[in-house]
Amino acid sequence: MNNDRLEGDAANLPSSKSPNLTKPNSKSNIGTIISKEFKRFFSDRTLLFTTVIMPGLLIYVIYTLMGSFMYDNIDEEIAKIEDQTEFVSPLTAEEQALYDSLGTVLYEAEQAQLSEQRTQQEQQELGAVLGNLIPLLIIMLIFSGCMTVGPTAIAGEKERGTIATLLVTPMRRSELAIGKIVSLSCFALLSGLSSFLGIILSLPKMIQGDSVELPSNLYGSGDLLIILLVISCTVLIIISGISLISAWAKDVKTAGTMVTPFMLVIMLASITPMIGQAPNEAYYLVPLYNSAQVLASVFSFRINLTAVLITIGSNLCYTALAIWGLTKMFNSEKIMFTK
Amino acid sequence: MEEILRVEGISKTFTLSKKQQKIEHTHDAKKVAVDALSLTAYRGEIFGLLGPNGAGKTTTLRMLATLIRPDKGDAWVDGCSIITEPDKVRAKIGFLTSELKLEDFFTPNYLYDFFSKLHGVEPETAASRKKALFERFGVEKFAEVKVANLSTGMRQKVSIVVSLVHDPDIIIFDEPTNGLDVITARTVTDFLLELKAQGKTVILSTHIFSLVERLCDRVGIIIDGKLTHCDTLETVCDGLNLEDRFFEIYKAQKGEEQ
Ligand SMILES: Nc1ncnc2c1ncn2[C@@H]1O[C@H](COP(=O)(O)OP(=O)(O)OP(=O)(O)O)[C@@H](O)[C@H]1O
Ligand SMILES: [Mg+2]
Repeated sequence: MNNDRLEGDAANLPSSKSPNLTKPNSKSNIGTIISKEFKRFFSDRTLLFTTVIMPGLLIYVIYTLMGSFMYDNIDEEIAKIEDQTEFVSPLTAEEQALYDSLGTVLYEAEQAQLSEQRTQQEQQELGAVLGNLIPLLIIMLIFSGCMTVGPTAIAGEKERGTIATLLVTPMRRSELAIGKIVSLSCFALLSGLSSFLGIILSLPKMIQGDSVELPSNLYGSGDLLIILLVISCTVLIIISGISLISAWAKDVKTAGTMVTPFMLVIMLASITPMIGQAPNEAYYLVPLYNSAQVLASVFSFRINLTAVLITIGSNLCYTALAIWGLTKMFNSEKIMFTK
Repeated sequence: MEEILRVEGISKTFTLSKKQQKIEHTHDAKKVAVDALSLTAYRGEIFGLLGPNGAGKTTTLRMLATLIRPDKGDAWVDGCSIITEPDKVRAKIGFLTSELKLEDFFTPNYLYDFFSKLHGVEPETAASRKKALFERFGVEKFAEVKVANLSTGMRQKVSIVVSLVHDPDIIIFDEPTNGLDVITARTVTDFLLELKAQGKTVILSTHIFSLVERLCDRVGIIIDGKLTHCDTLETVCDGLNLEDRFFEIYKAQKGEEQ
């Protein structure tokens, strides 16, 4: 018990009495947190497979099977009908030849015009169908991607007591919140991207064998960019929701149960395109609903750029809000340490 | 004697859930875990917080480590308040309790670097300090083994090493030898003496008398959340051995309550 510190005794343990100890938060730790989360994610093969490989593969296989099954059936039906009808012509051979050649010319002219109209019409119809179905599909796939990574990374760390170890370091709680949401979003995005690729690659198979040739590039690169941006901000929103719920829950199991109402909300939002379009642009301020509506509008060829911007902007704001909320929760001993 | 830790009247009351009430055999929804506790620790000493199960040792140390906030009172760690400057306090202390776990998935080597970064330790300093600490505790043998595959003793060693990445001046260890065999426990207690020799202050909690007798310069006796005695080991013992003296104090305290 004396004042003179044993300065020289740092013999085996290098001592750092540098001023960085008094200013612990001079450097951001977000990168450190993110790199840890990435290391965890990318060295876990099971996790990688279930979140990144499986969704895309599953969609591709299901859609391709669905496509070939649907059209095989239709072709069979047509063949049957054709077999049943036998037509006996009252014309002589010459008359028939003349009629045929004239008919062919007329028919071809008519068809050329018709097919253009039909292509457009079919494209619209296909767009409407895809616009109804794909948002639901994409959003639910994003949700399942988020569910595989979110609860374990937050409620799981709480349950296992590893988050307490982080909380006794001088790192800011906001850095932890940002690090978690950013890295989890990246993983969920990878999962979303995988589903997206699955859809894109299986689309041609879905519409293959259709009577009318559709242009192979149904959606342009602008459309795809919007789809990707909207998927990204939807991922942020869903991860934010799941993170807040997971931070609240005492363990992974409870988090799973508590997420159910949120999942129902997500499902409801993602089927709204089947019910109708947003009455005005203010509706695009509603999270999840806006994602579903914008995705539907892209797939059914009626993009409204303002709506897209409102959607992306508002979702980014909500994510910032969620980060703030998560920081508050990490700071609250009631939430973090109540058994 | 330079004061390095001053605790002034900290209290902590927990609200018990129905389930916890059943476990604790009480119908009281409130549990006073720590009751107006004050103490002082000086630089370069080993201070022992001695008390039976449920006395409030862990709760006290968790408050000092800023994991939970006292309802009343305040404490200053090397001049920084645990209430108004928790980040500064966190940078000054090394904290160890069974509640702090390491992620199963990572290796001691990775975790050491990770926590070094969170504490803002310069990479070169971190590397040489890691080498010294790993050697001291024999961690290098399993430095590349995932925590999931380590034994209790190995984990405790890694936890200790990780709590010291920033070479803190104040080391707060909650029952550091719990669950360790005599050999590993000895490594830990010897290390605590080494830290003291380096001029560090060690605050530890325990219910093991011999540990206090062997290590501590001063001791605080905590019973039912109250610090009944706090002084040098000789003064507290008052001629008796620590165990006998403790039971005297314990009976007196329990009698007073009834
Ligand atoms: N989060 C909590 N919620 C409710 N009660 C709690 C909580 N943490 C501790 N307690 C109660 O506070 C009292 C003091 O607990 P504490 O863990 O500080 O004791 P301790 O001295 O460390 O005991 P042990 O030797 O068993 O570790 C106990 O009665 C305990 O049940
Ligand atoms: Mg305890």
